Amino acid sequence: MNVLLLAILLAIVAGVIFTLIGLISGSDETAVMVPATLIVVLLGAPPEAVFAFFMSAVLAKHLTHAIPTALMGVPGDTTAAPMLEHANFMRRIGLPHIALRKMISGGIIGAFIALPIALLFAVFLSQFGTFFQDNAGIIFTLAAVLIGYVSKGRWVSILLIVPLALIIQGLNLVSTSILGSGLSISFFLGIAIGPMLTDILLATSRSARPNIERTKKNEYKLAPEQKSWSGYFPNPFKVLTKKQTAVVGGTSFLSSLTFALSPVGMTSLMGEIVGSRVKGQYKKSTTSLATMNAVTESTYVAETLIPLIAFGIPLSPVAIGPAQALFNAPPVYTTEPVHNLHTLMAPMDFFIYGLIGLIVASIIAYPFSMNYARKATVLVLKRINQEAIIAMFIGIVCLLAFYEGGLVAVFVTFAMAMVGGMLNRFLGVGVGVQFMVFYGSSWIISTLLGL
Amino acid sequence: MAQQQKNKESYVEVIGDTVYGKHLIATISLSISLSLIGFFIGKQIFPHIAPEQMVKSYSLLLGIAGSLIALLINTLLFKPKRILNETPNTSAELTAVYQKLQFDIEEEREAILNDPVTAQEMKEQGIYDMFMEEKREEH
Repeated sequence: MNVLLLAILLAIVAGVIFTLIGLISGSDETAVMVPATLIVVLLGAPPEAVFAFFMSAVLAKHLTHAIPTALMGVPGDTTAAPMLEHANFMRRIGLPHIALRKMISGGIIGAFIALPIALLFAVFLSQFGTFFQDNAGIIFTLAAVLIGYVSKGRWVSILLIVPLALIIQGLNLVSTSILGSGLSISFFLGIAIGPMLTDILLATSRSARPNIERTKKNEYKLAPEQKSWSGYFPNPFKVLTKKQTAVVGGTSFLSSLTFALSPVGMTSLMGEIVGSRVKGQYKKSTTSLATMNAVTESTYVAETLIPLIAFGIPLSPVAIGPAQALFNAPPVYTTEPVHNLHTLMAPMDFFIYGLIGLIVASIIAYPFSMNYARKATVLVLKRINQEAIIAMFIGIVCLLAFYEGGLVAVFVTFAMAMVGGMLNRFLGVGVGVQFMVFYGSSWIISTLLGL
Repeated sequence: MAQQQKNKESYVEVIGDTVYGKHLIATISLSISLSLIGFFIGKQIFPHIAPEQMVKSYSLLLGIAGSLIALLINTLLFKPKRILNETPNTSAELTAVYQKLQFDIEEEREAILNDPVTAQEMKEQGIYDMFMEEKREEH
């Protein structure tokens, strides 16, 4: 099939699926995006179509994750966490729908600004590409130290880098001696579902169960909508005031130039800077929300594009998280040697197919969120049980692991999830650190212990 | 099993939402089974009808289909363990909310009055009076 047609088709599929997934609060981006992208890659889609799929998925999910954030005060995913304070204020005064409209209108503008800016910056940075590729091992290790230092765990994250690398390489050695080749997908799937698995493991332990035992059902407050939208396709520039549009544009531009900072960090930083200059709580909250959602969107796009185009190795929090499968999806894409979207696509392709992804997602997710936010939330809350959602993730992860290396890979995935999840839950060793250690582990172990 | 002793309803919180342990075991078992069954069926039948290099990918797709069927069955099988509370916020409560959140409603009104763009936006959204109304009452 024609590549362009396939790209549009996959972008539509991503737009629809991720518009719905975004409604499910707490759906972790990495746990959702990685398997979904992997499936598309492994099914043999051309790189252009994979990229359009990914961009559409990212934008659609971000536009709809604003729904639980604004309407229920539950962060749609981790990047929505900094927005909770302002979103909660808007909810308390009964105007969550306005908060929502400001957020997603900011988000959509942010994404479209980020694509060209990040692309140009990446092309500029690409002259340093070989340097980064040649020194990937040490760069990942340094990144693990750096991310570890700013993570919740801080010193323990740094202290455990070598032991964790040893565990990963040990597991890989076992699978290599059984299967004849190492595993990769299984490891990062394991890291991604670690937090979820830990909760389930706690539930099965008699001594740990009280930690997560609840006597009451979770309660969600959902304020009624006070005014519905007229017309189907709203204009984001009319939802925001002129000043808000300017601020959204400026912060999106700035954050498109960053690729090493965490999206959550950027979001709260920009939100603070903008919010502190605004008088009046209503205006402060709406402006901050529009800005913050725009920044999440632009950092996401930038942190995917810049490492992908400039280096070909996953060197940003987004690249080692949700965008991982664009870099590394063996046997189709690999980082050692670099054979992935970096080598398979020209910068112009990234622009064209990225734009296709963003446009398709906007057409699907934006009017949907503006018009049906509340109805959709009620439907999900009332009809779809959390058990089914968890089960689907675990099922898909098992399937993908089995696909990579049979029963061995399934157990490796769960071993990695067990270790990673516990470290994350009890010691604050973040998922980002674990991914960095995974990528640096072979260098760490061979350099330190001479494997 | 240890869970047999617990007759009274108790939930566990998994990734931020309350679930019922036995239901979770059932849904996960079903999901893993259907996903892998789909994959295995694919590996049996596709070698006869598809080109060799696509067999694994098509099987994967069938596995995904299996997990989606599992999602559907699981959704129909169990009810969500959530309470939905649709509390309305009336305009009269606004001042109280501001006080509770330690914001100054007077300052807010002043900011709105000094900023015609925000005031206009509030009028268009039909919420301007909700912010201003109470000022008259206080005088």
